[in-house]
Amino acid sequence: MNLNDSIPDEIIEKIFLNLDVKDMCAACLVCSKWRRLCNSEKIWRKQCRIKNWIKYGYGALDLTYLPSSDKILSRTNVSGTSPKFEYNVEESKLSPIPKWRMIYIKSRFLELNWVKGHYNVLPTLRAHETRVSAFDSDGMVLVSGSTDAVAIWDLDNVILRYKIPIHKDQVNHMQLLGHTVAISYTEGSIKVYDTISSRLLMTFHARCAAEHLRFLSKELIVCSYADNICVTGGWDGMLILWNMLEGEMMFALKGHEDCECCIYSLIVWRIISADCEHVLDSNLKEVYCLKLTPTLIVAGGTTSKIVIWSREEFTEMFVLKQHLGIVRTLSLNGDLLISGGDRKMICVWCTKTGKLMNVVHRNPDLLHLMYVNETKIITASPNAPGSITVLSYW
Amino acid sequence: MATIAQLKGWDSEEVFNVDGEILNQFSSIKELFGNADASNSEPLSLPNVSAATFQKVIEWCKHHKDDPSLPPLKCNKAISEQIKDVSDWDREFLHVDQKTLCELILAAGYLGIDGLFRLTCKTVADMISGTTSDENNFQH
Repeated sequence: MNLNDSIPDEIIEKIFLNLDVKDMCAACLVCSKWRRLCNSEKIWRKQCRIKNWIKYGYGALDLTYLPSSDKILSRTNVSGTSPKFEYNVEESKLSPIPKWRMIYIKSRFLELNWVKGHYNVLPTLRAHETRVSAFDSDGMVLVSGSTDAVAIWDLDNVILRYKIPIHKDQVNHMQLLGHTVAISYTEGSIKVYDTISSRLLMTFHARCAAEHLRFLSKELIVCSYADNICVTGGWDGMLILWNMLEGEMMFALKGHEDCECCIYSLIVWRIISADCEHVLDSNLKEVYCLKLTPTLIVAGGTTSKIVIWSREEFTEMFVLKQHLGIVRTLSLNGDLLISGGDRKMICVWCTKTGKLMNVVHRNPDLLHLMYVNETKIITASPNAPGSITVLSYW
Repeated sequence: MATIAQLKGWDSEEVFNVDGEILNQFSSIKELFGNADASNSEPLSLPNVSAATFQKVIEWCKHHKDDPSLPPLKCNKAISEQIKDVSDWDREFLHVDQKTLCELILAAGYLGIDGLFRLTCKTVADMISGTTSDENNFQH
């Protein structure tokens, strides 16, 4: 009596669920039956779930269909470290590789590209004559604005879809939602466009709202919104919580000593009651960027440092030092923290260990806007003419 | 305990008297006995479990009868993280040859003893892990 003959397949599969990926790969080589059992969708789906890679099997991030960036580029643009996914399975009578195992392999490839700093530089997006003052993206569509035009880009093929000229006005802030984009202008209007047809759907003339949105891009340093609550800040040293559904001001928070252009210490507020919870002070001087997750608070500032706090205990976890000059923007992608600063530096960090993974030297001298998703970093500099750089890790 | 079930393995006439505490751990067959007084009915023969294996299973269940019920496995975490360390008693209990181990897995699966099933699966997985495909002698 041995394991292979006496135990039914379902139970062997249960046993394999206990194995990690490395052992599973070894078990695949034992015999064709084990290979078939290891190649079960259930097992690999579970492995993807453990790694939080289920998202790479669905929708816009589905790595089965997402074209890799080297397909877009001409051959001459590819360097030795450019990622290129190659995985060829010979035709044989053995069981085929299941979908979720393939997704696991591709996701792992993507993960290693981030860790090792392997990326492709996509063709630079040039449509603006003046500096890009705002952009937003969802990974497939990018909308950028300046004093002369609003541009809608197709990121899958890296082409300009539409260019909408503006007269005597400037884009201050924009937000992409599904197939629509809301753009606020300096002159006080908010316009909503359809990103597929470039049709103008709606125009609002909400004077005070637009004025407040102007602060978002110019003077405001900390701004974020979630669960229909928008937090804004301005010249007067106040943070204001807005209820987005009713359009009402909920609370005005006073507490920062100096908000002339930046804040000097971070104050954590309880959103429901507007009580001050904690004051975080880590000698960042002027805080330029701030990110919140359910577990972490991350901030960067003038002193070239980035500080990560635990959101539960409000203790300092890591101080990250690599940047020269101001740390201007931060983005989180899973366990990765991507920070952009002056002197052509974008750093990729691990938020679990606080270690620097790699440094990207591709962005323009100064960097003021950055968008990061699972596969891309998109950056824009405050220089004219406004150009946008896209780095693709897939 | 009120309910006493009489069970026997497929290969012998030896009858095991199982009390309610242990029967409760057999999630797949406990319903068969319900609240009825089973002491004077015919002993039930278990088609997939030998007497020797059943003896072992009862030994395990006696030792673990006070364990709290197991939390369901979460699908977003590795199973190895969710199963606590194997106790010394269990390690000693499972220090058996492969044939017995296989029979224990089958019996645990058949009787629906979740704890023993997880434990034996993990034991086999631990035997597989860390070996190369050539060293793996399970199929021979």
